Amino acid sequence: MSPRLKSVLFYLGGMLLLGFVAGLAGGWVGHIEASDPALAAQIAPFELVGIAVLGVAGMVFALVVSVRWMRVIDEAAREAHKSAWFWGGSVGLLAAMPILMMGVLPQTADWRLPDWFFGRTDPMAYAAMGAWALISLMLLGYGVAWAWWWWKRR
Amino acid sequence: MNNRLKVLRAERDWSQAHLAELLGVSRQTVNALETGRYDPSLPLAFKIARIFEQPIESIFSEQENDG
Repeated sequence: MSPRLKSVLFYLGGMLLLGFVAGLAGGWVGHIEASDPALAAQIAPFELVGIAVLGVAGMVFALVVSVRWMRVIDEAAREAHKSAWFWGGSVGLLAAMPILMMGVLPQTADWRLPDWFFGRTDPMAYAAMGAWALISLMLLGYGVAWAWWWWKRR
Repeated sequence: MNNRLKVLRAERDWSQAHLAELLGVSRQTVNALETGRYDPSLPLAFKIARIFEQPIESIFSEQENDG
């Protein structure tokens, strides 16, 4: 195994460890919320900061892994990713256009889409759902374009 | 772009995996190169030429593929 690949696996392991710690913390907070609401109210601000810190740390790890991964793979594999990013990501973004256009119609005014997924209809739930929708569509497009690139060159 | 990679490799009785190892790329990349569906970068083309001990222009030609 090359040193570069080892380095990628090291950071990937770091990400998994971070996810494990986040899962443990989430479980612990859930337990506190159920058993001691007063304590849960006290730690609520720290919970928010903790999630933000974990989110940023996860982002940094993901970025480092991506950079190192792109250096490990060969030029054709890099080309596949670049093509997938441009075509898959762009088409994924375009696929969000119908949702955007439907959103301005009066017929959709009473749709409570975030409620279907998060059980919430507050503004933050709408913002999160918009982000999830874009990420999902872009990742889906990315995956299809990446597979298509290799399928054409099999 | 057309190339003679498959012929040159067969002449030496090399597998795609062996050539991939010599070039420092994946076997899938060697396959994509051989089928002419992926054109290599100049550094990779020079490396291929060095490994087969032939000038680049005798391995690659600018004639378009039919498929």
